[in-house]
Amino acid sequence: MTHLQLIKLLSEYKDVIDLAYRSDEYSVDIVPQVLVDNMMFIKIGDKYKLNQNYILWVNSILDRVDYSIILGDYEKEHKELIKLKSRYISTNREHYKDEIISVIERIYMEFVYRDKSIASLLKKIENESSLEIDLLIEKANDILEMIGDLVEANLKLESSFIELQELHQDIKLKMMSINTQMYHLFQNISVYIDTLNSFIIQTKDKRRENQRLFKVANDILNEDDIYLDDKLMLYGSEAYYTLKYMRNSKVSTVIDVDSNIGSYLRDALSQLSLERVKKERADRVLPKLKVEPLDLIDIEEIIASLNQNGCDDLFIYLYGLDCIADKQEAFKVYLQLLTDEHIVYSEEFNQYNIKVIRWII
Amino acid sequence: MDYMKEAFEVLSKGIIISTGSQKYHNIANFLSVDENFEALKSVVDKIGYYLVGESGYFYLSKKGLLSREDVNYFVDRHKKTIVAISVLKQIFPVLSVNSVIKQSKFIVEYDKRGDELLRDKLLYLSSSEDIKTEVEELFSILQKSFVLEQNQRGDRDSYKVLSALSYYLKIVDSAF
Repeated sequence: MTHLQLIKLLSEYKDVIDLAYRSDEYSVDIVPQVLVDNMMFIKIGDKYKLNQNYILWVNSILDRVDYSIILGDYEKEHKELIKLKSRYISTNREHYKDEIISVIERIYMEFVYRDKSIASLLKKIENESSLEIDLLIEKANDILEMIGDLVEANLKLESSFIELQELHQDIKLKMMSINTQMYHLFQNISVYIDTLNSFIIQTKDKRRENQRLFKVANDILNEDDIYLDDKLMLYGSEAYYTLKYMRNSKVSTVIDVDSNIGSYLRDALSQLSLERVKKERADRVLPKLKVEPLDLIDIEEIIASLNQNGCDDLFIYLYGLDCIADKQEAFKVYLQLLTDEHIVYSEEFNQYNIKVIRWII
Repeated sequence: MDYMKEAFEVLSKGIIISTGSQKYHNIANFLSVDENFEALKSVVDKIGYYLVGESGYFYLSKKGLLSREDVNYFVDRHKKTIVAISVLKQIFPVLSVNSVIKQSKFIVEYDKRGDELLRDKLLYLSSSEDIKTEVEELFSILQKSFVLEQNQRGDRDSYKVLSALSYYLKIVDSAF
């Protein structure tokens, strides 16, 4: 079969090929035998599955990619280059030089394909809408690991290419024709790693956001949401605007969400609790003791008398004075004189159970 | 100046305008320019309103006391919106601002899940037993809360997620 005949064959059976390509598993139940004979389909169990190479080629052209893709590290090609280089050096045969150029070209084309696949893969994962978040993070980590492995492989290939340039002018020319593009492809790997790392961080944030959202929603359903009522009511009383759009010209509310809603709430709540505490304390304050003036008693005269005569029990002395009306009044004067320098405390108590104090002259 | 007048007319109805909105893109673009935002802010400030502009959405706010009826309405409406967003996020977990979703795809995915909790949430939002009506009511709540906007041209099955989604997610976030 010629290449042109193959293209005609594909065109003739385009409908069944398209049906298989658009199916979930790239397979159909029945295909014309000629497509099986030409390896366009391979029978697996009861199904006929499209040739894997064809799927990869079409996906790369159509910018589609499967998560199951394996990104080549070209280790085999690298070994092949080393072998060819060694043979060329020992024999100096042109044949090996041509083979080296051919392998370099193949690696370059694979690099271009690989780069496009990675870009498609990142686009696919970033645009996932219904995949579970945990699964998405797992897949992103797998891709990151796969791309990370390529860094070392790239460095190995890069150094091999530099060495090969010195072997022959033709190899050098070939390398010069692809060098700039190869450099960009190597650089792209770093960009992809950065992109994936950012994506993983953002997706983890989204997972946390969803977990909180689901918890609050479940609490609402289970009527275990008093904490939400409190917060919403607090916001509602703090800020509102007219909601004609939703409520027939009646004044209603929306939350005035500022950029720091958490601290706003905490501040508001702390102010509320502070006011409450102040109020409780105010209720508990005892009335101040009423201080009765001792205007009718001349303290100075009493002190002068004590300084002149002295006494063995101050309270008895005071109680015995004509100017003192009763025991309570005697005790008040007694208290006022406690700090005087003439006072000497004893260990005894008098008949009124009051500490005996002597006034020394 | 015309846009300023238009912006005030729309905002004073209690509408949250998002930058990604097709319907209000002229006003959103106008308010996205700092000078315009500040100009309108100073105008509404004189009549006791506060123009809020953050995370890609704008709305008018005003402090004041509320009746119990208003508070209850406010709390109930926000709770329903939060539950509705959680339903949407269960079907489309990585959905974010500017995502475009299809109502038909939502129904297919919902059907595929067969999730009882999801069903309970829809029942909380709708009194209907019919899945199509339930989903329509869900989308209606989200549109009235300015979280979703139906495609204004062409495919009416498509809905865009607006920046106002962040407004509700911030409320949820503040509960923790």
